[in-house]
Amino acid sequence: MNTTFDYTGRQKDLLIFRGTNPTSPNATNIAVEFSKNSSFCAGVQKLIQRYAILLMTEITSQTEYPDFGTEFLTKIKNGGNLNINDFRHIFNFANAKVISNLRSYQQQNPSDFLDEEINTATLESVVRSGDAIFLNIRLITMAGENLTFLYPLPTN
Amino acid sequence: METIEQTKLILESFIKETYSDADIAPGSVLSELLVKLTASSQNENNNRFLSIDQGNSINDALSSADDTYSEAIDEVASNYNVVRNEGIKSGGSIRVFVSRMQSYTINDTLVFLQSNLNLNYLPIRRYTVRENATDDEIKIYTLSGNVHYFDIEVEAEDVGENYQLSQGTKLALGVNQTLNNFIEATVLSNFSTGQSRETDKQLITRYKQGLAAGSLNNKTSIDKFLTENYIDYQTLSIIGSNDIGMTRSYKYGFNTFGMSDVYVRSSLAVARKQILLPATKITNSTWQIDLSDVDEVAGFYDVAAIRSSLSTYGTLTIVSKTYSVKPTSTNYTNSVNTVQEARFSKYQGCVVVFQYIDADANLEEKDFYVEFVYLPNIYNIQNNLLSAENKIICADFLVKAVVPCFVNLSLKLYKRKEFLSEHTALIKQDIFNYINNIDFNTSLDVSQIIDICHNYPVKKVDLPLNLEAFIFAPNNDIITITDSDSITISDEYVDKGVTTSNCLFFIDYYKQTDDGNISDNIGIEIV
Repeated sequence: MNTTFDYTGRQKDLLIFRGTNPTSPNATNIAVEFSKNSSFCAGVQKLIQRYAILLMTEITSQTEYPDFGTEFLTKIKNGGNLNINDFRHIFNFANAKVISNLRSYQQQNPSDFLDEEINTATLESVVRSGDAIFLNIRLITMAGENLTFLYPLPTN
Repeated sequence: METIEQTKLILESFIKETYSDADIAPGSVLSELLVKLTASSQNENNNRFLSIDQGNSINDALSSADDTYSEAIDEVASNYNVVRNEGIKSGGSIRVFVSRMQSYTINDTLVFLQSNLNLNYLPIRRYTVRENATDDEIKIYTLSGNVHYFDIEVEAEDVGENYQLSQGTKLALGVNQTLNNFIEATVLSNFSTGQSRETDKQLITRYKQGLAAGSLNNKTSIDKFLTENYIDYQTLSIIGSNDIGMTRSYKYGFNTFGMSDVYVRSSLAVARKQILLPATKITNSTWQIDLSDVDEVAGFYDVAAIRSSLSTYGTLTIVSKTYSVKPTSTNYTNSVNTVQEARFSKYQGCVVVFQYIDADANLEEKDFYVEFVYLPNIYNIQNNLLSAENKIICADFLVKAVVPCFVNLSLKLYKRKEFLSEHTALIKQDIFNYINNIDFNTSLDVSQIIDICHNYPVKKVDLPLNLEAFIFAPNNDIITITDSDSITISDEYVDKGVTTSNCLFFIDYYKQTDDGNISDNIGIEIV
């Protein structure tokens, strides 16, 4: 997998999901974190960030943009006692919406950098660690790269 | 007004052009933290700027198909010291009939309902009703047997011209309202004209008038003067020396300038009033009344009835109404040469002869109630234009009530399942407003009435829809026009004193028949 810290010609975003490590063979834990040193991101880091924001924003939580986000967190919170199949079911619906939105944007705004464009994403597993739950997500870019990352679910 | 999406697009375009390195795609942090939040804030500011932009506000108001009430227009009007008219409630006297002679307390929260029109009215104050009433109480009278009555003043629940009721209209108690021994209530005489809250278009027109010259030498300034001084005033038309219908300026056989006939619609609907006047006997069975000096109904359209007492309906048989030119005695006056020129002005004289046989054969004089159909304030408006401070020295403005064209119509509507009983009342109100607000030189169209009906759950309006109109011409002819498409007032009746510039349509909700019954003037049958 190619990783690059050379942003030449690329559009940059602010990096807030610390922990994305495209070179690691294992799933790395990503979490929102604002540090003293701000930094930019591009490439697959940027794509993971966008994917996570789109997936985890609760739909209708932004008053002026009521269609932004998915029902993933809403259904998880209100679902009661869910088993793994329920999780996958809820994730798959939300994931489909995110991939559709990203691909639609990619079609209207084609880029030369295929590692910034999503092909698909899947839920590999749900990992429990202590009181925390992590989604183990595999993301595949149009460049053919695939990366797994762990997204922590908020416990409140 | 700009939407948030539009503001966001503008920001995104700006960033793409100016900072092309920034990724503001959906879901990016820059989009979430920068673009969306900025768009929300910018959008509010942009719209505030747009709303106080006078040009846009005025254009929006003038071009809007609907009535608008914008705060921005209020702010613009305040620059010209003009304040929006918040409307006037229609009101008048009603006669309340009860089945028992006793004392009553009428609270100002007691609601009277006109059920066909679904309009509510409330007493203007608390009333105490007694048989032996003191000065500030209301006396109760016996009509006959177990029917007693008292009169109180009421006003509409809300502002608007659609609340105006005509004499004889029946009222019931409102929903969940109680008054012991209540039988019914009726309107004693036509209610005063109500007025809807001034729309943006009307307010813009008014503050434009405020910039017009104060002297009464053109239509705009006279319009402004009447609007400020006469609450019920609606519109006017001025016929000048070279205009069709002007006859006064040809007194000497050739046209002289300086004369204008000012036709005024001083209220939305015609007023009706009963006035007690003295009559003298001519023969054993005929009497006459001189109606020339009844200034409050000056320029009246017609004498609808003569009655020997207030409690009777119908009319004594009227033998003749002879109109004349009343002589004047003021310093300032108008040149009025013929009966037709005097008609509907304060110079209209009239003697009415009617049949009546009194039990006392020796009676030579008696008072009778004369019911007039008229537009209010014609006398006052004329005197105002002739007053020393307002009169244009070289001009002769003769004020006349507009020539009336009375309309009645009947509709048959096929309703949809969503049609409710209150829709009938609303359709009547809309038709009332449409016809009474038709301007000079504008036809009354059946298509507009059909459009009104289709604003409600109506499947079909039965055609043809026959319109019937009666023009009370100044030469005392009644011109009947019927049509199933459109009624247009043309200049073909100019010899009778009717032109497109002096005739307007009138319609009431109800009409009173000679036997005292009330029938619908806007008849609606729902199928």
